[in-house]
Amino acid sequence: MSDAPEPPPTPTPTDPAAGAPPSATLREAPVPHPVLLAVRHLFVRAPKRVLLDDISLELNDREVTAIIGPSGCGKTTFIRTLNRMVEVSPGLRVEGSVRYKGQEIYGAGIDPVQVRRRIGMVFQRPIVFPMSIYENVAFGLRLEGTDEDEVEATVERSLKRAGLWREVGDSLEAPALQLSGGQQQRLCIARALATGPRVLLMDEPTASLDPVGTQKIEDLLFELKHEYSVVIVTHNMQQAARVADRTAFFYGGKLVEVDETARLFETPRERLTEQYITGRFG
Amino acid sequence: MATADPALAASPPASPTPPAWDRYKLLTWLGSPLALIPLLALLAVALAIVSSGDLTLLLRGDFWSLTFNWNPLYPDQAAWAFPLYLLGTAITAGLALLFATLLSLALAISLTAYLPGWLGRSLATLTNLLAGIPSVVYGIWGYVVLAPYFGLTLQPTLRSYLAWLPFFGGPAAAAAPGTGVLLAVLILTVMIVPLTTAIIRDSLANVPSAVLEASLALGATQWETMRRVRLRVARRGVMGAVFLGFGRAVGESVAVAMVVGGQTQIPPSIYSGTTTVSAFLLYQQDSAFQYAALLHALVDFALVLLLITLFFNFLAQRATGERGAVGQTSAAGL
Repeated sequence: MSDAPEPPPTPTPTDPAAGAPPSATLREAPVPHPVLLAVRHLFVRAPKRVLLDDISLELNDREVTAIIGPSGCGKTTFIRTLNRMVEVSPGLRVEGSVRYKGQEIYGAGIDPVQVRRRIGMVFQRPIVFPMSIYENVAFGLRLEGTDEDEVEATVERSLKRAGLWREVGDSLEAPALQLSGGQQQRLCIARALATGPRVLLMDEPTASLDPVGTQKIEDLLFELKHEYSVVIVTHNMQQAARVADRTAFFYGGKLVEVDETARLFETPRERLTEQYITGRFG
Repeated sequence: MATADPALAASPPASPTPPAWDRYKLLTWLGSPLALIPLLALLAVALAIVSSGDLTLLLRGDFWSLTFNWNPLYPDQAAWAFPLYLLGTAITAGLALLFATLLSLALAISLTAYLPGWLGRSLATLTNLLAGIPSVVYGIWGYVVLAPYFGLTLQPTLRSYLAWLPFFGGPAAAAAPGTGVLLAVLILTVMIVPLTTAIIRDSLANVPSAVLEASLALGATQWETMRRVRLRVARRGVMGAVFLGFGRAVGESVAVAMVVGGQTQIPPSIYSGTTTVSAFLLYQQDSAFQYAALLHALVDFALVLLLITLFFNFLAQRATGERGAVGQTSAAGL
């Protein structure tokens, strides 16, 4: 899959530096972000039931999108369709379209391996490989046969971006399994960033972490969204409210509602959404 | 327990007097000594060997000589050539282990990751069946079926093409055509493969799927995931398989004795015969009780064999028993 050229940054009409005429009414609409991933009429079927039922959703660049919903609503299945990890589970059938920068990732001749390098993933539990911290981050680069100088630079850059460099910068050769759970999860983020993705999918990345570890990951999300599109599945509605620009509510394999986070939580349009966010079920 | 005692099964938790407790306690009292049986058995064997052997023989030159000389009329001129038997053991078991490891790695990898589930399962069952074949059956198969073929067809062919390789061109110094190192290695390989395959397959299958997914999500292919992650996580299981397989190969007597040739020599080629420590024990047991010197030598052979196999089984335990990478990952929340 070839990287389409980056769309030029959209000029922001509300930017005062751009010299908007003072007489014009200030537009309340948010700055439009280019759509990075566009999902259209997506179905995922297991042999006896439908896991995802006609999902259409756009994911913007440089934004955090939260996916919320009760257990079993298809949140995890949904983000696994975005990098074709869904195909790893036997017996699931995917229909519909997922476009990355306009290109169909399920298209003929598209290698899932290439998709997964562009669209990285972090799992619920930190999964570090039984090797050194350095080799963990270098894992994806080694697959591409990147030369050692570049590997070294990328490892450092990725660890810095994941906010881990200050803690492990002088012990890169230590076994990664010695790190704490929170550090391991940030290591997984660094490892995902090292292959140079544009999208980062996170499946309940803080579910197994203590409050301090959770806090650090959430802080990190604010940094990461300057450069990446982040999709985070979370059980925790406060977390969605804290970190996400937009939030999508899934229920029973369907997308019930998607909106700016504040609006979704304050004035949900759907009754089901309101019931869920006020804790009446879930 | 509950089915044996309907009153217990029916009694609600309201009755706090636990009659079961006493029974458990009784069971514990009776059971604990039973747990000592393996230890006692090991001690008994060791004691028997030490008492019926002659440990000073282990320190004498005639035990470690490079020529074999045993004439019951002149027992004080005996020489036992133990290093030669040890070498025969190392050559046959070592080569068999090498082939068995490669073969079982390939088998276990395809069984766990590449073949469709039903085929993988039936092949695994088939491999396990091989483990149940008595070793004397392997021996007969080797001696009756394979040895003539080896002697008349395979060995001449190998020699005509590969004579330029060391050990591939030498004479077939064997008692019966076809017997010797090559056949013994083949039989041993077939005998260890089920064991090593089962262990490697289990340890590969025990790698959590989450770990594999983490690798795939980084853009690794199935093969890269196998090579860089799965085998690495399962490496202790692979090591355990190698050590156990070696222990098995070193200890195997009957099948090896039937096909290894029986000569006391450093084999000049892969076609020539040799003798392993355990095969030697089998060859000589007939006359063991007639001559004290022979009995002492045999028992000392057995002692060294016991120590070697115990050592490799211990290594296997160390490799698989310790909390390895998988264990640590699970401590981190898997």
